[in-house]
Amino acid sequence: KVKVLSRSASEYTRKTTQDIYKIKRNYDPKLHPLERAREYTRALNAVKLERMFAKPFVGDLSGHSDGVYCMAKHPKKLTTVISGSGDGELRIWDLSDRETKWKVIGHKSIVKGVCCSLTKGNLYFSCGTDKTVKIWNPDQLGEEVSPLNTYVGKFAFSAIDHHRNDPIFATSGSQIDIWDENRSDPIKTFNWGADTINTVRFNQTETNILGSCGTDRTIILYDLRMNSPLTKSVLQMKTNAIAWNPMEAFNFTAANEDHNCYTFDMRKMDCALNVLKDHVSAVLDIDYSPTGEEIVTGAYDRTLRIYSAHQGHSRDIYHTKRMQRIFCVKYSMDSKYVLSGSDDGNIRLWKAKASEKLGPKDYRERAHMEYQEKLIDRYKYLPEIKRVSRHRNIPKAIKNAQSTKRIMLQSQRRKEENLRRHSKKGSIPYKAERKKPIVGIAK
Amino acid sequence: MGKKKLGNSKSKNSIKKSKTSFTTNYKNSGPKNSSKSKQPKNPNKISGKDIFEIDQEETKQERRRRNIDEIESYEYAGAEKIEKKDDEEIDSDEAFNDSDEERFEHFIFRGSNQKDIKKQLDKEIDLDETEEDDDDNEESELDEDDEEDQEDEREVARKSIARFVWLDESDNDESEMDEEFKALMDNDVQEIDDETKADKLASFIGSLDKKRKRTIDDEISSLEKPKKQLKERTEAYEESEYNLATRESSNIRKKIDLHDLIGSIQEETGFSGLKQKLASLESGGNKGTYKEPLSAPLPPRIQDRLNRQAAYEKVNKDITKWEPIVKQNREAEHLKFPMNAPLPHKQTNNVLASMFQPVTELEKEIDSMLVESGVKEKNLQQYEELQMSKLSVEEVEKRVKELRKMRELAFREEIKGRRIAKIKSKTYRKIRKKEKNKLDLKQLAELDPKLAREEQLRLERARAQERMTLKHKNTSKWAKQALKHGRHDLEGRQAIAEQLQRHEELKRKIHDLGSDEELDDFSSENSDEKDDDIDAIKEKAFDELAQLERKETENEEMEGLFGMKFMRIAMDKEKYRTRGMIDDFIEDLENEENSTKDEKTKKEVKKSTITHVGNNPGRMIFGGFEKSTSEHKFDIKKLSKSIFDLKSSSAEEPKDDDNKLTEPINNYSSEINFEEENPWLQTDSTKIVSSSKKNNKGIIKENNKSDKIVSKLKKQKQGDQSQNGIEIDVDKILTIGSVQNKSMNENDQRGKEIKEINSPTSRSDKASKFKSMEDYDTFDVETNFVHVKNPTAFSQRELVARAFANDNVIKEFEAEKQAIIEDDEPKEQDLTLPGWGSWSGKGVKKPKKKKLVLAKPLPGGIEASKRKDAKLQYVIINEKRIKKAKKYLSTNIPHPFETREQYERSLRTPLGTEWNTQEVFQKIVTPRIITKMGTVIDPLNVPFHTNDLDE
Repeated sequence: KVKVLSRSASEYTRKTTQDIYKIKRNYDPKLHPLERAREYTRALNAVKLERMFAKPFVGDLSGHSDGVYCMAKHPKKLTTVISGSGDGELRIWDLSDRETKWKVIGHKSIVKGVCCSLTKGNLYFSCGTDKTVKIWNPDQLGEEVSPLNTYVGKFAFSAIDHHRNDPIFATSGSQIDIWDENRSDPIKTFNWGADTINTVRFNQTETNILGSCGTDRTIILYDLRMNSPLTKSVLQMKTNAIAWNPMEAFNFTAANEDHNCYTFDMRKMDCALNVLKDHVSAVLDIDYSPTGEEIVTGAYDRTLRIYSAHQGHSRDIYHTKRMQRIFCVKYSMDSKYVLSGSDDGNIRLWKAKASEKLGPKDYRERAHMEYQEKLIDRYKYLPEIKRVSRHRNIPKAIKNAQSTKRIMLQSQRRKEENLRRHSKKGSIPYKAERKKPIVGIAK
Repeated sequence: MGKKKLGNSKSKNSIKKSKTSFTTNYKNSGPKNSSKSKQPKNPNKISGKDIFEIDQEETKQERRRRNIDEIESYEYAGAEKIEKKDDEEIDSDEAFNDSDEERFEHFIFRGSNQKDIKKQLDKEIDLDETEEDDDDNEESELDEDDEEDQEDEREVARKSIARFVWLDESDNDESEMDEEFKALMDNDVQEIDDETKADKLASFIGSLDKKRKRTIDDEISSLEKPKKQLKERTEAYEESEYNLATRESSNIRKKIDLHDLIGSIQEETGFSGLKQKLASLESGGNKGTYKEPLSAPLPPRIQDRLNRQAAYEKVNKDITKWEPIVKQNREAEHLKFPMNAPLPHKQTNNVLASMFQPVTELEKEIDSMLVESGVKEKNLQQYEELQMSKLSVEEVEKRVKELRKMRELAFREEIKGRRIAKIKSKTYRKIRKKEKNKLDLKQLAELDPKLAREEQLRLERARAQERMTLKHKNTSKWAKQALKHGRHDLEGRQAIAEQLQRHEELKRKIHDLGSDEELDDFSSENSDEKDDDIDAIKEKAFDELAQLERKETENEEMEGLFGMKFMRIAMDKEKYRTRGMIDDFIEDLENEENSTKDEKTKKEVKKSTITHVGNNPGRMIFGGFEKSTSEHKFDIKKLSKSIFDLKSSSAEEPKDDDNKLTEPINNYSSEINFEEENPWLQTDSTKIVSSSKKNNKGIIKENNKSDKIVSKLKKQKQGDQSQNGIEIDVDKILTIGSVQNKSMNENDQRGKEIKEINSPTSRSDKASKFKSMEDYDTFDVETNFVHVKNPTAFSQRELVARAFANDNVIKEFEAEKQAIIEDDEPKEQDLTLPGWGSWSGKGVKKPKKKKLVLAKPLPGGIEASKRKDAKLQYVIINEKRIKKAKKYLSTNIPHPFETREQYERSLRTPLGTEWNTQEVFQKIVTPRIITKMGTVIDPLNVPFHTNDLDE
């Protein structure tokens, strides 16, 4: 009697051309030796491929004749973005077409802030240094484009932001004003200290809380339900922008003039939760991804950086030859794209993950991509993979700035160390990096 | 903060104290005092920058002044009362009548109590002052420090002034004082934070100044005077130019209090009931006669700060409720966005069926037909209902029962059928089929015996036909034809298939039922057969070998060219070579039986990576130094030869054997000193050690007995183990040797005969194979090797020594290590070039110091003293870094991991589909954050109500 290996053809042939081949697998480990080595090689290939396919630039939205200084994304419409430029022009963009859908010369001078409303249909707000806040409805018919409403303030406005649920918006200038959409005067005013306030930003989860940062190096928090501000922390340098984490109600990140960003827990302002380093110039704007996992920053060094929210160094850096100082950045509402508005009057659209394939992927492709990602993640500590995955081509100016900065920091550290060495033991304590930027907290 | 808390607690204490004391002693003033105790909370901080705050400061200063004044006034009042008491005692006999006494009752009451009040207040005020200081400290900010200092100075000055004033006034007219003070005190206690009070106080002081010149003697008389005045007056207090202003300004405050109103009544006797009522009204402070006044608003700066702090605390508390959600999300293995997306609703078949609307032509047609024929479900249901309505109740019941029973039966049948259908055994199926056939036949026989017989006949005929026609085999003409031509038409193919099938069936019939069991047994039999097979194969192999030999011997006598001598010698050599091969083969075969499979594989593995040193299986070299081993081999050959020579000589002189054999070996061993170091001689060494220890034992008697026992046991064990472990069974070797000896002797005797006969006598006798080899020296040696006369003379030591006779282990090892150390050492290089930097020619002296330019030692070298194995005698640790391995090593333990093991563990299980099932693979590979392309991700939705701040 002879035993023969037999397999019926029906087991492995496909019935139609659409049908997939059924692959029978033998999981005997003897048949698949050297798994570590094989997977390492795969990881290495994957990371190389990832770098090869890293082409983050999707396209640009050109049209503004002056620098783009503010931008807002529509909270419900994925493809709608409004931007304001230095010449007072407002434009609403359609991202899928990369075209201007609506435009108007809205202000007599620079537009300092724009935002979208969710409450009353399709309304857009803008404010400028011409001391006005204007409400726009792009769906309005008629040839003359005019604002639905205009509020005139006593001082130039520096920023505007809308409440997530209620018909309330906040403006900043020499003070924080809270406006009702239906009233001509602010319903509330917050004031603490005499300096100008740069930015105001509503918390998107705990919707009544808002934060602002002023030219007096302060970050002030407010609550609409309270009559007074909550707390004020003074940093060593000015904060340019803040962004609330959309998934963690009490956390926000502040983009600072000292090239770093600091993540704070609003309950414990005396110590930063995280310090995001890597920029070589002042960070001008910051935005969280809607997943709360990543942060995009734009800086005066003409680069865009993407950070993982819980890590100290950037995951990626984006730059182009012609992109100038970046004054506003936004993460798209599906967390797949990043927008940057810069001095050169262009808005640029980037992929959030540089090497991600756009468009539909079938199951097996997706599984393969995920496998590769996991492999890279697993072996990311091995030197070769680390080297490949970290490799970026950086403009020379930034490279130089980096090295200069490194030298500066080193010398500072050395000086401090010398001082410590030559003074009484314990008289110069070590200060945590997270506490360094904080000068104090005013009550 | 700590300080502040301390202050607060203090104030609380004061409040408590005051409250308890006042409720017992002076109930009226209870609420007043509580208000007073609150007062010190008012921070006395001022910043001079703000105009607004400067105003504040003024008022505050005044308030403070007044505070101090109060203290003094209390002191004074106390003292005065004591005096008054004394006076009363003196005068009661002389001046006062009953009514008078009654009239004074009130005053006495108050006076006696005021002492207590005063004490209480003193205490309290002291506390308050300290508290104020605390407050000051707490609130002090950099810009305000100076001002505070100034203020303190001012305060001190004021205090001293006030004291001075009061000391002067201590001799004042008491009755007036009493009245005025009473009113004032009430006010004071009630509302302390009043600006106008300062004015009042000033007026009061002024009025006192007027009367300063009066003496104590006048006091008694003056005491009577106010009584009269009291009767006369219409106002609650004295009219004066100073008082007027205060009255106007005090529009909110209650100037007239209950005592003032009742004062006139007090003398009348008829109002006792009313008085009692009023007293009760008065004493029940909580009944609302006196309402606690509002404290003065704090300065806005401080008020704002307090507000902010409170607000911040509240918001913090409120926002902390997000914490569990945030934590959960952070720790989540996967996060799918958008988060609160509703699950897609899955529709059941019934729902789909009920929702069905015919769309296509075909569907519509079918639908219309169904409607026409009335088979639609609705119609059917209606019909059934109609039918049921026609039947009687009993009938319906019966029907229902029947239905139920049928259903039950059907259900059981179904279960049974399922169970049977599950049975996989082929034999069972076969039996079942046969049974079924038989049953059918039987049934047929019962029903129609004729038909059954016919059927049986038919079956048998068919079987016979099959056999006859051989239709089931391809050998028939028809089959051949069909195979040739019938392939293309369907019928032909079918016919062939059928035929093959039948063939298969018939074959199965022949094997019949046993086939399945056979299948099962097959594997178990197989294993048994295997061994048998191997034996058989071996036997065969031996047979073949023997045959070969026979052929050889047959061919031995040749003529012609092959018969010539040189050809013969050549052939002999050839034969010898082949014989050697054959012997090897035989040996292998024999060895195979003994050695297990595992050992084999192990050896193979070892061979690939490790080279043995010489013929010593105990010592190996890992990677490298083949040169030395080859040399060594050469040595071994030499050595073995010499040993063999020795042995052969010993064979010739059997008597001297023992001494001669042992001597050279001993010499050899002494040369390399391996008595001390060779681990194989441990039996001896341990013995020595143990003996020495025994000696030691005698010396060290301090040890505990238990220790001794333990050590003894240990030693015994060690000894046993070592002896057992290294014991070489001499007897066994001897027996083998002797057996061989015998056989060899027999061979010798037989040898010549066999040669003459030229044919092997016995196949089994292995020794016979060597017969033709006796001419060769090497074999002589081998045969001689066994001729050891007195084998019992081998001591273990000798045996071991002999076993390692050719090993110069220690020396070699040391040399090797030294070589490696030298190789690894950082090297210095003399880079001086001859002739450079020096003069040449006649009369040139050689420089005394030769300048050495040394190149830097190469990186990666290790100094001999810094080696890890510097102190380890028998170990070489390779400290060379392998460059190729570097890229597979992480430089340090990455962040989330704490130990190397942890990190390694994380890498252990592979991820790919080759090593995981599809399901597991999917699970592993799923990323942490899953987003959907083109969908807006909203910020976290609120699972709780947030709009109001709850407590």
